[in-house]
Amino acid sequence: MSLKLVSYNICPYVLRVAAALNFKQIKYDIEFIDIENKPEWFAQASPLEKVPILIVDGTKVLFESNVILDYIDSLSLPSLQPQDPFERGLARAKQEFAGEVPTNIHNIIYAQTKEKFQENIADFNWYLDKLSPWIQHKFLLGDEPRLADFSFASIFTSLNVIQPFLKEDHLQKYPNIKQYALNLLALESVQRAIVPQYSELLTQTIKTVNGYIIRQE
Amino acid sequence: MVAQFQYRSVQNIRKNKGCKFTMPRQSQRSIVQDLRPSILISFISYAYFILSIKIYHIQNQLRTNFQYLRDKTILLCLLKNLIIHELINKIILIKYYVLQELGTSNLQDIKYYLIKMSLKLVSFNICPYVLRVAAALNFKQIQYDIEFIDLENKPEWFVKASPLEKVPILIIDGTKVLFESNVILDYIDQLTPPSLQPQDPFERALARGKQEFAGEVLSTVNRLVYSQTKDNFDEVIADLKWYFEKLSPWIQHKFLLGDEPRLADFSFAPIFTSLHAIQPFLKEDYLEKHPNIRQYADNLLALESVQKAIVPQYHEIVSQRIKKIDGYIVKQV
Repeated sequence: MSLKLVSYNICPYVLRVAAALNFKQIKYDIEFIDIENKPEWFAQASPLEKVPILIVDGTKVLFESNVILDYIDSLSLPSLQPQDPFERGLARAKQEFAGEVPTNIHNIIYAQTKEKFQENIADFNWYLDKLSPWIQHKFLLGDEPRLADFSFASIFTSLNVIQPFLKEDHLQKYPNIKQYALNLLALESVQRAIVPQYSELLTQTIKTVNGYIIRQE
Repeated sequence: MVAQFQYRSVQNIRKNKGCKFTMPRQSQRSIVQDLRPSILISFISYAYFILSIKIYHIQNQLRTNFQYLRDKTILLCLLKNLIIHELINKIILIKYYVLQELGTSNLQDIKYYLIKMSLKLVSFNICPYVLRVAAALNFKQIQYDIEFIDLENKPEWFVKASPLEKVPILIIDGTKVLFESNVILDYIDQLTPPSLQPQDPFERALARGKQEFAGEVLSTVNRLVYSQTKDNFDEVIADLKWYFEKLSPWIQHKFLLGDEPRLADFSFAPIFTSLHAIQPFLKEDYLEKHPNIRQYADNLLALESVQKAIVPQYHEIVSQRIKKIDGYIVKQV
């Protein structure tokens, strides 16, 4: 079975999939595209013209990062999802929650006005507040990384790069989340999923967008 | 985007009276559920009775013929084998009975009937995401309670129970809470046979990818109501048209994956129930270019399980809300 992950270099949703593939030690190719300048073949292959997409055996295309995560989990043992249907449902619900945060961070970067910026910062704090009771162990479901953890990893890779531009350390109130972020970033599979120059590329994007985050006093 | 609608909807939701009603029991299932305690009791009584007789016989044999069998360990071993033998016989009998009744003896499939499970769906009356779950529960003929809440005035217990203060949530056995409509759909799918998801992992993943897509379309339909400016409204319309363009190649049959409704179809249903209710305010029919999607919408709305999931006065309530929000959709000429 051949797997090709189509990616955009700083896309947080791609990072989840790449990190999980690394952790499960599943072989895959990765192809980067320029999201500003999508190649012809991509517009045809990807039903929704989004990344990530996973091309299986050259022809079958899967989209939506959470769905791809579950699919690759089924490719090899052991499974990173809980066996019990309820526990698995709960883990997946948390993954969906994790999916909202990169969008929020994106909005923080792109907010042009003070009101929008503060609104999105408030949302971010709300997300952290909701996340905190779930972090009771080294990882989300215990002491070993599970599938849901890879969904959360990309939140903290972006946050690391954005932090210098933010006036406050939002994780200060939540030492458990701070520790969780460190545990995730320490995983080799996550590190390998981060492209070289990630920091520079993301910083460059932030400056190009020139949102309120740069201009704030 | 999906969640932002749900999060933002706190601001603009019309008050409603909460109400509680129970879906009527499906008569087909009630037979097995009524017999459930009897099956267990019969099994236990019968097993106990048979065991008592067997133990009595062994004791007699011990007394008369086999003095050495008074050794406790040997006796216990015999008894253990006996119990296991009897249990296996009884399990075989029960499996046979269940197979006759339900057409399956797979433990995974029948556990819903053997384990008493209470389900409560917490809802907001016109929430399209709730409709997905309610329609699927109806289709699978799974019994559940439904409780409506006012999103503008969330009750205390709801804020505590629902981690993200959103609907729908599914409360299982009074204490376990699941959130996120697509996740709830998958959970209820595994409660009873047959599964509405494809068996093949790739096909299942593809179906789930389409379910996520359905969430984006739904969010876009909702944005139609909230857009305040012409520019914003036109942008939403353009998005909606783009989504229908993308959806069209997927609709080749009566339903998404064939001629029978599957789980993904319930994710799509509220797109069309909402659109139906909003249509009177729209200048254009966006399904005109896509007769296959229009037919699909009709097929979905014709499903009894979808109809039963729509609250009475749904169109009136939605119209009232649209007028109250007073977005560009109301003001456009």
